[in-house]
Amino acid sequence: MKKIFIILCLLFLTGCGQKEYSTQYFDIFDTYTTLQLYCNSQSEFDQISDGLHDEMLRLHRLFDIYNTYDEANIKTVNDNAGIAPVKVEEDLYNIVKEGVAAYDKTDGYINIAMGSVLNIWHNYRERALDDPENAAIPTVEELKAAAEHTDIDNIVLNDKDMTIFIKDKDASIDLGAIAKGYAADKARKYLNERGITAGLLNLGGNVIGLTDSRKPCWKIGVQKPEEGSTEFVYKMDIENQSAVSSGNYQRFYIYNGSIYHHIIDKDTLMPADKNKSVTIVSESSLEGDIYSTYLFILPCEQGRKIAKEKGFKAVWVDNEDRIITEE
Amino acid sequence: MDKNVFFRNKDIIMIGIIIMIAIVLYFGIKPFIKEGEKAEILLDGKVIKTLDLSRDASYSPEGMEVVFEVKDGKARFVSSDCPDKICVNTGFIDKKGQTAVCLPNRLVLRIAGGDTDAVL
Repeated sequence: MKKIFIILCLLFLTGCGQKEYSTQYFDIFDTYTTLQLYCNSQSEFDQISDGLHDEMLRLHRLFDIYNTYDEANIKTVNDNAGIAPVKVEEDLYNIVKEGVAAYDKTDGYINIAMGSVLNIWHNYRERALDDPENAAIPTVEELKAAAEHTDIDNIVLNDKDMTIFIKDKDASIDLGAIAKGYAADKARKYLNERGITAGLLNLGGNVIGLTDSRKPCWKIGVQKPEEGSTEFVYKMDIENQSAVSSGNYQRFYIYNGSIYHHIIDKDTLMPADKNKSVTIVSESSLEGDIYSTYLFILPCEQGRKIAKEKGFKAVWVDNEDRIITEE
Repeated sequence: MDKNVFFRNKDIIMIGIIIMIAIVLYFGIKPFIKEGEKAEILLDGKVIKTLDLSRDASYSPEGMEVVFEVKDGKARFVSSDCPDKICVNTGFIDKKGQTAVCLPNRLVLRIAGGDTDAVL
């Protein structure tokens, strides 16, 4: 009898311990977000995931360039360009500071002060998606005129008062290239502080994989970046790391049979055309965000040197559909 | 035989038989469980429709201006009333774990199964 009891206990042992719970969000950073966490119970998961969702919503509002909320956000700063400095919350101040630092790290290719140019592309894209028959692209004159107002020095930061001021009234800040990376790093910190050691957050392409002995790695597939793509070009494991992709397949419209996507090269003011996608595996998702965009714009050979220097794992799909990796 | 031995020979045989049965059941049933590949349509995270990729079909969730289709083993959003059309632009998907998403309608089209945890 005792034996049977012990054997039964052993059988049930496998069912013990933490379980994986999951949920998803549609309302943060204009992207589809999925969250999987190893927790002790549904109620623990609900508590942690609800808290994380609130935190992500708060950052979403702060970094939103299109809508105004109760608290001062990046739109407030943009609306006050050429008028007055705006006192902002710590996270907004910090991300703008990170954005300004990214400009120096990337030879100006990541420029959060490029809102004027990006806004033109945004408007053309919106109109094209609404009415594909009448899709159009901006004129060179239009883009060049806007590019007059993209000097990074237009952004004036005051550490003491935590204010942000844009000197040029026609300039604006766009955090699109770094917002999700910043938020993903915040999410990781949030989860760590609550004792979560295994989980996966996919914030619309910014992936954070937390791993421990129960979940030693998360498997990430990199898809073939073209319409109707049906293959993974690459599979990799991440362990307590971030993986981020920048690609021409994420946000785009078609004009005259060509893809016009959302990553704009400052040299041409047109969508970058050297690669189809670049994926970066790094510790920090903010860095992954910055460098996946930067290396997407650069020719692959140049980018490989940078990836090597930074110690990132990187995967390119170039314009000829070649897969190039740097580890 | 020592009375204090916890597992006697017949116990070991019994355990062996149980393990054998488990293995036979696992591999015996597995081929029958595995059906054709499927596309799942999720509304607010809940599966509202499963489509067999081996059969061409189209589907529109009740009360929504959204049309899905399965064609030649692939699935896609054919049309949607959303402003951004990111879902339609995603095109066909057919790899396990791949998704196409319509945020405004809170709809996800997903190929079921697969060994990847996230697709970039």
